[in-house]
Amino acid sequence: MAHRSRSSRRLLAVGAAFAAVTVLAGCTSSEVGGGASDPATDGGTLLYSGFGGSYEESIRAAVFDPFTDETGVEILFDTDGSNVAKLAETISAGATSPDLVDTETRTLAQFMAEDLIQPLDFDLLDVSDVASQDTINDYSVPWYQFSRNLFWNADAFPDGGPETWADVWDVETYPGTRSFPTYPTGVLEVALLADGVALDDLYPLDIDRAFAKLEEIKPNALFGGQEDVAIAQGEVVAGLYTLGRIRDIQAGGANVEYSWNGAVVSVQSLTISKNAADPELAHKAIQFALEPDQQRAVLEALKYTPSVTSVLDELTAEERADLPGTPETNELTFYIDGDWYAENWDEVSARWQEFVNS
Amino acid sequence: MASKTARQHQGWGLFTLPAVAYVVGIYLVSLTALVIRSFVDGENFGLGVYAKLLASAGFQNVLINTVVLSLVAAVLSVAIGYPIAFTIARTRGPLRAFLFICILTPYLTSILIRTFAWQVVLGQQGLINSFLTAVGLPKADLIYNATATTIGLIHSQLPLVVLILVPVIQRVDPSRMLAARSLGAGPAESFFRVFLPATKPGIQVTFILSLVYSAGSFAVPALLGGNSGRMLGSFIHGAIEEQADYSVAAAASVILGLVVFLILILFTTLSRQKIQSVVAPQIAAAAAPVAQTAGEIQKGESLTETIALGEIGGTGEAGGLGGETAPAVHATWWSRITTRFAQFLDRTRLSYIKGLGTAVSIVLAILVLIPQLLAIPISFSGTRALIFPPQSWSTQWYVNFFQPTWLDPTIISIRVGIITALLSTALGMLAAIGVSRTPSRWLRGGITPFLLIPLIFPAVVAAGAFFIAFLRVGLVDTQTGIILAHVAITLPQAFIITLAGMQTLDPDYERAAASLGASRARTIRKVLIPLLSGQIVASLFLTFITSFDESTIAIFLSGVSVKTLPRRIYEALAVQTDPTVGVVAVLFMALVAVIGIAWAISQRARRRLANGRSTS
Repeated sequence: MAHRSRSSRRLLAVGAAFAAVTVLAGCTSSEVGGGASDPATDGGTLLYSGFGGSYEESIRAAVFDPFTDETGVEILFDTDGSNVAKLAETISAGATSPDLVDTETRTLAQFMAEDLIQPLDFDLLDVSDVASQDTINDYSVPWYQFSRNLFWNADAFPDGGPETWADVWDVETYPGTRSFPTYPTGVLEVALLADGVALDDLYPLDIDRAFAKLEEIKPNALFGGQEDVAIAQGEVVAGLYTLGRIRDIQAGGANVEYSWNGAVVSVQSLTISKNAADPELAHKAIQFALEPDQQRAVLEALKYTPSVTSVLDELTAEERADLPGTPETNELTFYIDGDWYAENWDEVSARWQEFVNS
Repeated sequence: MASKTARQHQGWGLFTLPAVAYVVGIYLVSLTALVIRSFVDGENFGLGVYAKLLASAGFQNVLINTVVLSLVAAVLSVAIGYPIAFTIARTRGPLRAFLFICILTPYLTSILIRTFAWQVVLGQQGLINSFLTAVGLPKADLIYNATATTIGLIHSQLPLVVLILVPVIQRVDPSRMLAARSLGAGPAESFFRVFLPATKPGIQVTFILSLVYSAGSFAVPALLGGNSGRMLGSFIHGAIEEQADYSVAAAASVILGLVVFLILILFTTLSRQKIQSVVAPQIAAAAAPVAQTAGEIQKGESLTETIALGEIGGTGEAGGLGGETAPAVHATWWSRITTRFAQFLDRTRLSYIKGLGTAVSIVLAILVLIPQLLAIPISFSGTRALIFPPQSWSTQWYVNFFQPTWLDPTIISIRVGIITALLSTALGMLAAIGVSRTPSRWLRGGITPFLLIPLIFPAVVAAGAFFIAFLRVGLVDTQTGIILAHVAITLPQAFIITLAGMQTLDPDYERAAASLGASRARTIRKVLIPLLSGQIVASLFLTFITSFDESTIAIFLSGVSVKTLPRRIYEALAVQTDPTVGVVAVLFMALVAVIGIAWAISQRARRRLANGRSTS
């Protein structure tokens, strides 16, 4: 009998805990997925679609908090910056879409191909300070620039690693596994560079030639999401990877080196989606992000290269020589052509999937 | 009297309603959303996506890879698991306990931690390559290929295989083999021709479960597979994350679901086993040690037996796993091969070596445990890279675990696990009470397999379905979404465990309560729940652990706003190496050890108490 009453008391406790925890869950889950406008601020609101995490924190501190201080505009954040499918669904459902979408050249091409963003009104923007005027197109102005570089594991090649893409393809002299990103942007280009195409002659890309060259390296290459660990662990000896992450891996103690030869430069842009609630305010935010103060803050917080001449000129030549999109490195590197990818995205994407999966 | 009995039986079926409504409302609706999505081809609606997928050489390759690797993993899991299970079943004392620990430790730790262990074993700076370098051999590329995937899959299925096979083997009378020996057969021949066939249903079930679970796995091929080890799980995940092509992801999920479904249909038809006898043993296997650990179930094996003997749903038919199946009379190609093999072993006198089988089992069991033990030195590594043996030492990763980047996901996982355990145990228990007490044959026979659907369906298909469905209603990347999905997949566990308890309960308890004027609610609260407390604890524990360890759905559904511990571990394995995963593994093992020791002490104390009483 005593046993029974103990059991039921325990069950009561369990029930109480259950109720408490359910309430707890209700509270925390309602925090996320916000996005409805909050009319509390007088300057209006902007929904910014980014990537969350530490990136969001840095961007918020560098650009959006000062923007709110100056204009009274409240910024809402979501994390679907690269989610092409979700934006397509939002727009096709006729719902209000984010005002600002944070894109890199690769996703910019997809957004353009799917007709999800709107052309900028250049009457509302002053882009004269932008250093690489070629990278401005109808939909985007570069906000900052970053690169993917050729890297190699110096432990694997004590006598000097592969410093050109042709070397990376030379598995006799430099044996070992290579790694490349899981998407085609940049990879097709370095394959063509390895095959002898000159930097200036890359676009329009010869897709057949690029895939033929990629087939050559495929038995010795990894096209997978686990490349970061693979590089740090020395599982791969060379390849193409984001510079910021290569530096992190170096800081972690791995003996990895990189080259500016044939590095892939990508520009990050704030774009305006098709059903944006307040395009005019969005233009204001884009302009604000191009001002020298914000450009300096982005460089400091995220180590990305500013896109405006006035801030680039403040750097020493030595500093510029180790940053993408500067006069010092532009000789050796190339910009991804977002317009070309936007036109050819369906074909490139389909062939890439076939290549990776078979 | 008759009318009174009828009234007593009325309405019990309603107790199954919440669970059925949940499975329909969350699980089936999500699957339906998945199927509908797979027909959406741009502006058109139809089979266009399927046509494109099936014609694609890339998809064909991944599909074939999935089937072949899963088959190989399933065959090897059973082949390796059987001798270990045999030794456990046929020994007593410390050896049995040791083998059990070798199997249970990996079973209770996340599959991701085991995958991490294989990164340490197979990597360029890992255990095997360090050894090769030390003896002057060149390093080998061991990771990121089909072999690494297969090893990872086997390691993830083995513990379950062993836990299911142990009770099956235990039930077979060993004197059968003696009889065969006395008739002149060698030890190997008598084993292969007499003993092995008697455990055939268990072998079939473990094979099919390993096959289905391997086919639906995501993390192992994604983290160990590289190009040649690519499987459908990575394909589906890639279609969602990288191409953002949800129609392709949906169609690929549907195809994988259909393949698994066909395998199951084929299996149940050929083996004449019910679907619940495929699913139930794994829960029984999981629950048995859990229940023992919880120290609540008096007869440790009653649960396993109740379920494995096929009493679920009151079918009352024979055909359990340890069935007294008659040895096959007609010689199939399979039995011919095994007979040849056995005769070879007997002729070479290999099978006469005493203790050879036991030695093999011990070696295999240690191989199952070792990768995990490597986590201990790695957790004290001085470098971020996973180098084995570590070149320098530090405790920084232990400090790191208690930083928000690791502690927050841990807290979220604990919270999600607790809520999931409570919800699914409540729903599962009500359904179990309903099914076991309803007089309706139709309800009993229909609801049991229905509630088991979420358990047998490939995890990656469910993850894809939840993702597609939850996207519409804004539940992706929320705690609520993960909990809803976790309850759906753990509900069957809670149901089966409590059902087994209900079936051992004499309905006379309730009748007595009812005859004394207790209402049904009061009967459940005052009589059934206390009597089921052991099963309830086992169910809470198992559903909690399942949710806490669950990686596939968590990886698909969580990301930035909400991150569970398995999701965090996945990032540490895919995005940035982090020996903190080793710390998690060590903490996990320590927890298991503490629970195990506490259990052993409580058992000893109980025995002493019992002895004290009997002597006094």
